Amino acid sequence: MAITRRHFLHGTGVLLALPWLESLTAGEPAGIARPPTRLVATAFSNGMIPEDWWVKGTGAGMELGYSLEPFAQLREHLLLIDGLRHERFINPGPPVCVHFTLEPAIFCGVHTKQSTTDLRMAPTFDQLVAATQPTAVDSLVMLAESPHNGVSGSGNSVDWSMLYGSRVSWKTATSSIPPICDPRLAFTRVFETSRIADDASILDAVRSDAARMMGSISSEDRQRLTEYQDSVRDIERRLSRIDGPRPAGAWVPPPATDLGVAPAPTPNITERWDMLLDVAVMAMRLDRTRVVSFLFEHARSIVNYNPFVPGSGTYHEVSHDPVKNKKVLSEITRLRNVHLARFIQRLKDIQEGDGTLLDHSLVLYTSGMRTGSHDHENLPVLLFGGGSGTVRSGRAIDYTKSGKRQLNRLYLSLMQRMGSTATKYHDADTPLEELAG
Amino acid sequence: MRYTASMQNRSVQLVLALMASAPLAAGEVVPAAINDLLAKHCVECHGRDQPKAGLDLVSLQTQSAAKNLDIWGKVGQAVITGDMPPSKRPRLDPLGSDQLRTWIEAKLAAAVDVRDPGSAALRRLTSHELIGSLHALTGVEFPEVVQLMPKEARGGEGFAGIGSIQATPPEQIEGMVAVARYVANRLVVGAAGLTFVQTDCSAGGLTTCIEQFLGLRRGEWHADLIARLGEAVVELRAGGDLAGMSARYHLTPERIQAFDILLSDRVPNADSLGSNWPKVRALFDAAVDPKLTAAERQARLRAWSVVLDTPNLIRDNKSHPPALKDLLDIGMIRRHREIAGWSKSHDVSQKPAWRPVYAEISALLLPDQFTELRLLSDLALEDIAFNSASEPIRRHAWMKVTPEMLAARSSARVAAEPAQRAWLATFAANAWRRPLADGEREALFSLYDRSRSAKLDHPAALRLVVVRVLASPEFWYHSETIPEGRYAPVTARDLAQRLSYTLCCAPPDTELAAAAADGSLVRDEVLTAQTRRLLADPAAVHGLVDGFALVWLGLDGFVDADPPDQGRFKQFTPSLAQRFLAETRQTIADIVRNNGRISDLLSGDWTYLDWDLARHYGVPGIEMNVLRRVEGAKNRGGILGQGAILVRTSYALRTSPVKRGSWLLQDILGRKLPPPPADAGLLPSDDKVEAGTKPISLKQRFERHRRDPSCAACHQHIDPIGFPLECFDVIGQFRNRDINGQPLDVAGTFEDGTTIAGFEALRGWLAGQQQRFISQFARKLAGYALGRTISAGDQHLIDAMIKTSTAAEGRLWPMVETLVQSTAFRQRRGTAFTAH
Repeated sequence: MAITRRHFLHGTGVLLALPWLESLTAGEPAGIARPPTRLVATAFSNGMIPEDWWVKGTGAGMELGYSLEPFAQLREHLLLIDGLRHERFINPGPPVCVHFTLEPAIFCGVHTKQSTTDLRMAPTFDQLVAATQPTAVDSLVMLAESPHNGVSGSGNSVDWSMLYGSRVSWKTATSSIPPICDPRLAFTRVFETSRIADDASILDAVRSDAARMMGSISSEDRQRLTEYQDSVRDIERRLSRIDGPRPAGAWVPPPATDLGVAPAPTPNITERWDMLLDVAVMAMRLDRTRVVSFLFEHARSIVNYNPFVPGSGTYHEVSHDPVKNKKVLSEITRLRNVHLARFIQRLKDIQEGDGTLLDHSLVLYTSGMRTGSHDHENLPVLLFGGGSGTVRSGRAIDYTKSGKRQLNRLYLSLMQRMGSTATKYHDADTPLEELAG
Repeated sequence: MRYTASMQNRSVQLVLALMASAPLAAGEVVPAAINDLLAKHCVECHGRDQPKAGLDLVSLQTQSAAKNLDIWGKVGQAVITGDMPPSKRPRLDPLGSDQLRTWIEAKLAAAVDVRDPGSAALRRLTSHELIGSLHALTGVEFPEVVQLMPKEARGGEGFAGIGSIQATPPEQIEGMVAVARYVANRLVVGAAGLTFVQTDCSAGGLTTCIEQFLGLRRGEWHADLIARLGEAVVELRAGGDLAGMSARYHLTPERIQAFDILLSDRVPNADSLGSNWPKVRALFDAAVDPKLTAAERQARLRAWSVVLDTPNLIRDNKSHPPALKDLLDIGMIRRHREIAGWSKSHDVSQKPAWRPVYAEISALLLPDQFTELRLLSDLALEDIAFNSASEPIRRHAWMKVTPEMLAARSSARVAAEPAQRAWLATFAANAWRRPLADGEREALFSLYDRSRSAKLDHPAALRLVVVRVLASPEFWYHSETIPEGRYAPVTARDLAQRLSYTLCCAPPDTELAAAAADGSLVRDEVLTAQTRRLLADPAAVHGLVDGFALVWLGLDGFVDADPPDQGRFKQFTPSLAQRFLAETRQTIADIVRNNGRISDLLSGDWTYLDWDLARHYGVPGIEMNVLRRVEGAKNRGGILGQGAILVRTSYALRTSPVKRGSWLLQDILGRKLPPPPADAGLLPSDDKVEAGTKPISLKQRFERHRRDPSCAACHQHIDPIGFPLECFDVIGQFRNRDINGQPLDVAGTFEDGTTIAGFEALRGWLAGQQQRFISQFARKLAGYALGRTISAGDQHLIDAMIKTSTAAEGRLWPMVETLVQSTAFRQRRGTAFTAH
């Protein structure tokens, strides 16, 4: 990786002179403390309208396509990446409908397994990063629409679990994270983790219950209880982080005062986007978590967009005809972008360290299809934020002519920026050098 | 392929024949005739080179059939149903088709090990099972706890409780602990005993609990209520050794009963009382007149509740005060306040003009709380007396408490502690559904003791141990004893668990537990008797209706699902959604409880209706606002004419004959169809046209679509059964014209010219599809009960289930009994099991 501003600052200790330190309360360690880099991986379903999804020029003079206009105020923080794709889905192509394969695999590009009882994919970059973060909550995995829960019974997608369509974050090849859909549950998870058990002895006791049960079950079932025990241990580790002292010289997040109350439930999809993303903003600002994964809707979305985009309707159905429904699909994309822009603006409004929370973030925004016609040769990818000085934004990069168009190269780049030492990620063996500019 | 009666029968015979064939020797050589057939009809697509759907028949022939049972099962099914070879390819002639089928069937029959009960992965409690288990344990229903966890996953045949896909990330554990805490916080601890309630009473002791009961939270409008309640309505009287203590919240059994009636299912629709409210209220007051004897009051209250049901009262809804509807809504909302949060728009304090009316009715809107309050009166008074009661309670509760009483009570509390500590062991054994092992009891007590010495008070220490017990995997997992050998019967205890959780989503009741304890349950006749007893029990509605049928039909979560477009379908309210679901639920429950005919679900000429639903549907002659079975209502027989199904199979803005037809064909009749191509032309998501534009009917649009042969292959099966359902709009109302006012054509025509014109004709056609439907029903039921995917090895079980039911006029119980008696249900793989 090229020498970056972050490395530079690190090396010179120039941070000491920066004004944000003055706002820290007395008694906190001074030193080379810097805000950490945060990763936000967001995705939407069923693609966009390419004629309205483009940028021309750079920086403040950048022109934006119709769908991207909501990002006008943020154009200097936007990086449009063109031409990336998941190679394993190109030739011979996905075995079945991409709603069960490529869309769930948007964060790793590995084929899902056809099954309703044995779900398999691969660990995803957000979770690989999350596993190494020293925060109270390893990651916040959210989906704004209630998951599609059934089993597909049609044609060659017979016997595929619909569950895949709402599970994009995987810890291992067999362990996917059930996303949180209710803003209240997200709030509880982030801010009330420490209340999970009055007494550490409870976690200790249930873990030994599991250990005892292991003795009398089949070896296949033992794997399940092993996952149970691992998760309990994981919670114990995180609880100890909440209570334990931070290492000397570490960055200290602002104190958690005035969190407000947990958001009220709401049936409105756009309000759910805002509420879930608001929880994410607070969680990152207070350093409860550094990794967020967020889906606007699931792969076979039944969100009715008609109240927001008159003339549209049930999303998956509308998206399937991007020619006839071009106008409303462009409006739906724009609608999402208005709300994502609101989120990014909130990150930008928060000052911390040598910049803003947005400067210290990497916000990915992508989709498992290019358009509703299920084409996926060239996936829509936007990246927001400076990644603590490691990304040069306000421009576009085009990989359509490149020989190595793996989307996983971008994910490898993001992992490295989050502190990973990995040099490979699934089918990627080099990062995208061009991100830093 | 066409749907003809002869075809139908043949398929069924073939499926049955599948198991009847004599096993062939394993490792046989593929006969030349078969080789030719495969070469001619199959391997062009399913050969070694980039096989379609990943199916390589050339390689498959040479491999062990036992290892590829499911693949061969699917191949056999595709040939039997005529789905393969596809219509664009040369079809198999009848002789070749028979040959190929017979060969596959023999291959399967030889390979299936009928003694293998199949895999049984360790299962976690499903949402319904969690609610049922907590109810059995605490006496309280906590349906809201499922919202403390991530949404549960479904798999196998489409049901929850498939062990292999129940992931356990930290999110899940956190949810499990949160549920445990939630329940523990609802344990009330007092000298008079221990009880669980619906309100959190951990933080401020019972006072908080009582405040919430009485709605004393904040806001001035509560003052009216308190005044009324305080003066005349509620009085707590303690019994037992607290006799003599009372507070001036007066509450009589009659009132409680009246409140219960008012909020029961028999409550008239909120806007239906109208100007009759004063009459109803006067009747009520007369019924609870204290001068009457208890028996007289009972009789009058009964009469009063009947009056509420009478249509002449209900009908007059022209001049009702607008506040009334809101107020009754509040009553409903309050029940779910903790779940749904308090909605500002329903807070009457925002509407001062309505406040007096609210005060008048408030007394009638708190029955749940009052009922609980009565149960709690002993404990509540004690709490008020001993703990620092908050000011509102102190101001409004007038108590007669003497120092002697306090002293007596104080020692009673201390005296109760050892017994309550001992209760923890009983609670754990119930929660873990087994006797405690050596040391477990002591470990629980030791946790309690350590908590006490760490300065927790007695109630807090009890609650801590309750959290520990309910957070344990012993509570959350269905662990079974693994027998020796390859396969063996499960223990009587495990069999009782399987039976009870399958049928009722709850742990065994006393009688079943007794049959397990003395071991008699493993006897066939006892097992059948217990099965029948549970099927007739109202609790079975939680298992076979909520856990199984509604999930299969796609209706679980119906009430919370995205509604039809609210701008266009204003009549679709949350309350109508509830009625819709209740209607379908009752219909299925009728069949479960009364051993009804399974096919009645589709083709029966009866349904359940109440006055609200009948009004929505335009069915005349329904007078009572109580869900009752209705025979012969035109266009409303079976579930297909029911609102929940019709909404569920529509889009937000329009109906879809494709969605309805393919749901019926695939989910309900079990046919498999290829998916539409990604670029399949679609209809506009809204079929309403701008004024002045010439409307094209949906039917015309489809005719165009079907001219394309690649579309016709599937639509020739879907459309004929989808169009007859077009007579129902998005929200289930019957119609003769489409949304643009054009006449509707509700006839569907199959390739062979068979036409189904309208809903009644569709029901008639479905009556002829009984075998297909029952077969799919059996498959789904077995998948639900066994918690896994149904494979080729289970075909003999499915066939037996169909057979016993068919022999008994297609009734449900024989099918369930066959399932429960089966090897798959009564046995499990043992320690020495290895796959082939």
